[in-house]
Amino acid sequence: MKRRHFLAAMGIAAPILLTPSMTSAFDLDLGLPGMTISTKDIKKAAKNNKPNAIGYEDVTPEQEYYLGRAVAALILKEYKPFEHKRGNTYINVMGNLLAQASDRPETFGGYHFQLLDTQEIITASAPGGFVFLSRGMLKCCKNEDTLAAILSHEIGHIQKKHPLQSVSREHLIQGISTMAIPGTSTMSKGTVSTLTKAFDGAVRDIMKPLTEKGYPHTLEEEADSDAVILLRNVGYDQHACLDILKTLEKKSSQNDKEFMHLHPAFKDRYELTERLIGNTPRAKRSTPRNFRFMSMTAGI
Amino acid sequence: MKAVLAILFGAILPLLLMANTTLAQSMSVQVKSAHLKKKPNPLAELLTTLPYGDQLQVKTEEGPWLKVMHPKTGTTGWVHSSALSARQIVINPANRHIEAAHSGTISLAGQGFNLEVEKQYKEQKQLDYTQIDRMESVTPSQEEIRAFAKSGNLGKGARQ
Repeated sequence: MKRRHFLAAMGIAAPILLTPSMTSAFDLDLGLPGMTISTKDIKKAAKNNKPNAIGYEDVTPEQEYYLGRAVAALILKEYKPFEHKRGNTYINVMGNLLAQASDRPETFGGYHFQLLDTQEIITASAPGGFVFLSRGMLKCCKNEDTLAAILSHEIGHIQKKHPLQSVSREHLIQGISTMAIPGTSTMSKGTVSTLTKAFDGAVRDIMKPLTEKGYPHTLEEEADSDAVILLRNVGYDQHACLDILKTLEKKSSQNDKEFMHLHPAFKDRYELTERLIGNTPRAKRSTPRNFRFMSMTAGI
Repeated sequence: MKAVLAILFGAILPLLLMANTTLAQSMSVQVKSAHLKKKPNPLAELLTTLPYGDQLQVKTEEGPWLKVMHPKTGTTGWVHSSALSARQIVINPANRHIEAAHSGTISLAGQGFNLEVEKQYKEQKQLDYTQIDRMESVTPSQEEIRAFAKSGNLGKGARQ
């Protein structure tokens, strides 16, 4: 075979051979003088050319977990947990059922749900799977399906890592890439102090949308979309998303002092949700679920 | 003729190689405790849990689910991709691991924001994590979740 014919053949073969699955599966040594192709060299070249851009996607599940614990601790510093064993068990089992049907059923520490002892109408989610729901918000739910819609919306924020998207790049770079002391799994005191400062900054970044202006409109839309999908995946009535939006809009329009205005205009959310539900008919009322809802939330 | 043969060779070779290439990928558990299930379904029976850092051999894929085998125990089952990382996760790093972590091929447990940072942060902010620890201790079993779905006539719409 002439060299030029071989090169023409490789010109056809190269794009296929250099796909990641192929290069990692084997090394190619064609045994021809000056024609050895090493996939290790290909990978090294690719790595060297990779842009050094760190983003929220680079936060590991373990790092996200510690951020989540800190945010959750701050939420519980502001609002007392509501001790109601039946109610908390109920939202944990339901929440985990919904989370398992999501795109991200597994987080580092798992999903955990907690009732808050306030009549303010609040839900909040912290990175890695911590979800909070106030007594006031629970009272807005008429049945289990509307409660599932609320929990699904928060799971949507977690599965899309919306809280992490609030963290500034500076805090991310410090928080993600700082290494342990070579040969150990620990860090120097100075390193820990610097990291803790970055950690504090990251936690503050995450808290801002929860306490001030809310998430950007696009992220709330994503969470609303995910809520519809999760309800559909599990078998709840998707129309429950519209029902709870109507209830919350009413509370908002009444300038209910317990309502915290952290979400975009209801009209837009309602229209988006209607589009996503499409022609799916409203499900028949589920007596077992309604009975369960009343029984598990009695006294809340 | 020789040119035609060369071009055919270039076109057929990758196909032959792909036919002989098996999915021999290794993935690591990137969560505290990954669920190994009997089937690629959210409500499938739980076989066991797999600890952080364990390396698994991937046999096949079905959507977001990976069929894996634990090389030490030989246990086979399905894990959701959200529980796994293509990077090797090292729990107790040595020098060579630190160097390799710079290349992005491995991930060090405890790198960046970690337990040490949490301890210092807690002290500085005087935060009580007792309630968070309690919250984390509430973990419904797979059996509870399945029973909940069944009694509420749910789960039939659950994705595969």
